[in-house]
Amino acid sequence: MSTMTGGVLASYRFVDAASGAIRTLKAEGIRDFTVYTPVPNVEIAQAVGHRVSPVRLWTLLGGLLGCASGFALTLWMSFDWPLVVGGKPIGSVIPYVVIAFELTILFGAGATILGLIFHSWRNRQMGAYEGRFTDDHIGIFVRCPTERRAEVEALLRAAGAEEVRVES
Amino acid sequence: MSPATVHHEIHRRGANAPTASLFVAGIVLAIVGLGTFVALAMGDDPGRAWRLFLINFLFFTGVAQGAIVFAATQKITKGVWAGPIIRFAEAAALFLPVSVVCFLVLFLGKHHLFPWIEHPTPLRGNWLTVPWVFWRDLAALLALMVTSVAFVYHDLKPDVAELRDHVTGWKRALYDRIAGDYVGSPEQLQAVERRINWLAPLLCLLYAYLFSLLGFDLIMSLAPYWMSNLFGAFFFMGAFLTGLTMLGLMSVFWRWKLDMGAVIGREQLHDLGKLVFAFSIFWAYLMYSQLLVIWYGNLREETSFVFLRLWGDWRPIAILVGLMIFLIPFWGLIWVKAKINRVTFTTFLAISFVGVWLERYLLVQPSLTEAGPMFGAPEIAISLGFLGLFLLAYGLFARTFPMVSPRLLAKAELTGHH
Repeated sequence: MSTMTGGVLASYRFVDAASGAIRTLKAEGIRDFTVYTPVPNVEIAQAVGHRVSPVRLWTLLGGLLGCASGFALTLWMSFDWPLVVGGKPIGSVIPYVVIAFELTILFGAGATILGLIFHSWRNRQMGAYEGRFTDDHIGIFVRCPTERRAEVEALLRAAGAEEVRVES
Repeated sequence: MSPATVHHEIHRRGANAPTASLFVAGIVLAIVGLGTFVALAMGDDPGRAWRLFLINFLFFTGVAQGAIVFAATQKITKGVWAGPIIRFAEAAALFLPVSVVCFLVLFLGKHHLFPWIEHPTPLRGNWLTVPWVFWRDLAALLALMVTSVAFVYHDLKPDVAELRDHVTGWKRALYDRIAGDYVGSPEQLQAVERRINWLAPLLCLLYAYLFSLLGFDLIMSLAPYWMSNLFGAFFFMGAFLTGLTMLGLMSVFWRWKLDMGAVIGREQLHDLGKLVFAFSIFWAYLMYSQLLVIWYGNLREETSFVFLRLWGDWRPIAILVGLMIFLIPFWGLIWVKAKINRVTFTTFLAISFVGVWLERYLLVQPSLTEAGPMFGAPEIAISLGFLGLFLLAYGLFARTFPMVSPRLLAKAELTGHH
């Protein structure tokens, strides 16, 4: 978790320029930066090269828990108050698959949202931001100490930034 | 080598694909299979031979037709990612005439197959009578064949015109004849694409309707008092899955054979793996949708079909089918690495492919014989014989037509899919 620090904010109009800038930053050994894009983009995602998201583990565990809960709920209720319906066995697994499937989806989706919130909160990074990053520009905010800012600014500009400003 | 030379090489190899291995394997297997079939059909157990003939006819017709329908879906959805591999699916088109001939042969053994000939079913009216079943199924197969061939022909035309300088002799004459006055002008290309855009949806609709009909007539009618409305969809989606797995296996084969590593990359295998994964789940979904209502309704005429297959002698086969089509590919292909790695990709696709064959076996066999599952030399030989016929027809296509499409390749590369 990093708190608000100063740095350099650059905005780009083109995907290839932005992904080029990201690659140059990484080649220079600068890794503490945040990228904003208006829409998800494969090329930028590949340039950033995030590790695999830990959220998917939440989804898996949520789904498995949901599946187990679905069978547990239906079987427990059937045996707790046994009623023979239509001559079928008390614990009929075939129709309970439907409940287990639905709860798998429900718990899986819920766990995904919880995981997303949890990890976003834990890794929250406050940095400079502009409204146009949700519109038609791609933003890169690089956190760096004052003495490196000139170097980073030159680097971002060389990569084709439309605008670069230093945030203290 | 520069990218231009790499492409030029791939185009040349694609127009002159090495097919000797397909031909040799195809001829050997077809002769062994045909010999076994004739010996068994003339011998002491003709029923067994004809049942195997029906199972393999259904399975391999489904493989070929499913693969071409997959190519059609790519045209409808404008899926350019499949450009480098689409011809490996379309190459199955030449098996369709073979399958029509097989259908004609199938009716020579009708008395061994259709119980409603000896025991007519008044409940179904005239629906299940030999002439009516024969003519409507023949018309269905012919309609599908004509539409498929027309679809593949129009997709081939621009490529044949572009690649005619790469071939010589009789192939050159054939390419010139197909290309005609086609020189690749934008208007001509547009005209070709208009035809494809019209044929592809037509083919998909015909496939859904007519394969349902074939499923009803050639599988469901074997137990004439059993019915499930969803069975047609179950049959043609299973066939679609085998078309996909065949395409996946052939993509790995041709990638190696034509040295196309530069244009068929991890993305194509990854996407195909995802599709096989998705349609394995869809198969399980359709299977369960039928099982659930039959279980709930608990009507004797409906449950007997399922009961016969899920309990008793056939139970191990049913479990194996569930494992091979659904559970094993599900757990296997859920991983990215397993989809990209050629060895695991091929293994899981082959398991699914054989799984659907076993499913067809399980659908046909228990309706027609009192004996339990039999797996011996005839089963293996006749099935391999059909595989041989398929490889022969496929090899003939690859020998004649370009296995690489320069224009679809260029389109795919433009979007960064390789």
